[in-house]
Amino acid sequence: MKILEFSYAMNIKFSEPALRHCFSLRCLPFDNSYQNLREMFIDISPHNCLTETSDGFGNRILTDRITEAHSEFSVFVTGTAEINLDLREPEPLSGIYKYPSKFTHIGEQLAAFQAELKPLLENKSVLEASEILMQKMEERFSYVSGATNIHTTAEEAFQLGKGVCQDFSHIFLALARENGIPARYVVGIPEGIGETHAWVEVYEQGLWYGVDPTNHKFVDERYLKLSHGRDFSDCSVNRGVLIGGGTQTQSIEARVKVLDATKV
Amino acid sequence: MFGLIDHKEEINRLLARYGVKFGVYHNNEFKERLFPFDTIPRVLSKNEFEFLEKGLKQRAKALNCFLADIYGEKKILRDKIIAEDFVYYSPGFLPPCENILPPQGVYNHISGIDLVQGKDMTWYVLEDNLRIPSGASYPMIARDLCRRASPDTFQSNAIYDNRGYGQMLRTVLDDVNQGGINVILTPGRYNSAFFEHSYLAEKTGAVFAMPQDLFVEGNVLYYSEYSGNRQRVGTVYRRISDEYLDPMTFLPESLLGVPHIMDAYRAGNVAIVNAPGNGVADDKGIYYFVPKMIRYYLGEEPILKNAPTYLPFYEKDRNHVLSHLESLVIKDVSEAGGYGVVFGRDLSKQQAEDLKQAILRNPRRFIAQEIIEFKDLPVYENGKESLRKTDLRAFVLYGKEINVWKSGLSRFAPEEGSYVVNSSQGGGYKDTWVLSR
Repeated sequence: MKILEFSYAMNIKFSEPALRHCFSLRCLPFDNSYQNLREMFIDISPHNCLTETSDGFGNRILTDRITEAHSEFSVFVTGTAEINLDLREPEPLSGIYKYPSKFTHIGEQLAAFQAELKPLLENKSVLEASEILMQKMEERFSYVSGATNIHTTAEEAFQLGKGVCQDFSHIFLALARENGIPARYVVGIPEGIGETHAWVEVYEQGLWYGVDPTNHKFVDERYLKLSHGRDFSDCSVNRGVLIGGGTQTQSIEARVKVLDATKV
Repeated sequence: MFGLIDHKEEINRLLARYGVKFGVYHNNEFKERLFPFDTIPRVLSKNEFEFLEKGLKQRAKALNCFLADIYGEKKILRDKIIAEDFVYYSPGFLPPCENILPPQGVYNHISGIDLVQGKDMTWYVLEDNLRIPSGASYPMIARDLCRRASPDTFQSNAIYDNRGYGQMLRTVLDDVNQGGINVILTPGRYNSAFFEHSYLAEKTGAVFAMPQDLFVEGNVLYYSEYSGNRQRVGTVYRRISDEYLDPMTFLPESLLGVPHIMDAYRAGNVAIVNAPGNGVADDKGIYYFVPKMIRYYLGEEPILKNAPTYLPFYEKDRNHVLSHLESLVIKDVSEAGGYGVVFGRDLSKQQAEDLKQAILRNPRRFIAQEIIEFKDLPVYENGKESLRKTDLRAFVLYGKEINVWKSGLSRFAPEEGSYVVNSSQGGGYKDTWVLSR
């Protein structure tokens, strides 16, 4: 068991006033059997009629529609959560995580890679196969920021041979699903300070196991989970439409600190 | 009835003046054209209609059960009645709609079910349209004009009045209403059925709205009046397709949608007619399974037949399709509106070979059907009668109860001998008379 102190801060500055700004924020941590939110504080500014809702994947969403003109939009969420992976409860599998999704279709190059992988993954357990996949990906794909963007698919990123956590996760998802392993995309915050992170979860016998292909490791209790879905497109932290706004300058700081459990 | 024929030109002139048009949008080009009306009606006897009515209600009910199941427990997949590939690969299956229970449990409020009658008089269902089936307004307005042109015809024949469609639709909108006004939402005048949207708003007494007239606050959908006042919306009959409906859930670049409308819907504060996600049930691949759904959900034998269909996905069917290509019509499941339909007998040797390879590469993408020799109906053209293949789109309305509209849209092919009756491909339409005795 670990106790995590977390915060998520995002700020957008608009060069011109923004109007009729609708947003959906997926920045509230799950509150479930193994990730227990002890306390949480939310500050969204400006806001009008802040509403919490959920989506078809079971994510928590904050929505609103700001009618007044504004030149700045800021989101701040902070709290503490108790993580205990031993308390995970079995869940039924949704078939959507077995099939390719928007960002994870296999093209020529991934198909060639898959041909190499297939014999290595046969008769392996889901966790063994995940480890092999991470190893093999490490040989072929490296972390370079700025090479890809949020629209880059698994196949495109793999052709480039470099990318960020989103790309690592998409490639992993594409290959896992192709090998019959149900897998989903996860957005959250690992221990440390930075932006939000993306990883994946694989499914075996009722339980989802976190796998972080970017860092070549299995997810432990130092990760805070915000949302999951088929791929990036289901998990945007901030999705919005607005009128005006001009140029937007965004800054994000996500932070998780592991507290000393004896002192809390 | 013969009194009507002389009025054909006059009625078409009036239809044009009323703006009864059909827009075709394909390959990024928008063309609006008139939808020619032929005054010789399709006539359905009382008995024949009663038979169709029973079969259509049964079908609509089973399809609704399927939608509730597929966005809920998915028992039909677990019981392996339907191969799950057909659901999860279907572009119509929308995971954002998972676990939403729509008001009254109704998904397919308006089903447009396309039928043809074979030369042996057997009726076959060719297609179920459960997303935004259009076309009801055409026979409504045509009937109105025909009655004016030749009142005698309607006095001397016992024909059900079809002009009650607006009231039937209104009842459905009221049945599922979650408190508030009824709204018909149109994407705007560049939609192929814009005429119909405005006509139905008039006939149902619903407020006619463009996307910018609606907004969501606190999971509730509102209509903003010119005065700046807001009115709560209880039912929205939207004529915007799923992918453009809500930029916060579906295509983010959509300017036609209403942000957060899916949240209001998920919260149970508004009924969306028809339910988002229905495309999974009218997918060409899923069509094959509809008779199985009827047996599975209702424990009944299907009253209406499907056209004999093969799924190359199954090896046995695939072998049959590959060796009998010339006698089949092949449909690409990812295309709609009469596109992606090829008759095996019209293909050159090379084309047939290419198609076979495409089927082998991706068998799930295709279905193959026996060509039904369907009945020709007479049309009046250049002063004489000629024959055209004609289908029938029946409208099934589903609210607290299920009703079949006692009329329908009969569309005929543009040329003699042609089998494609889809209005995007040319051709015209007829009124459909249902006799009351």
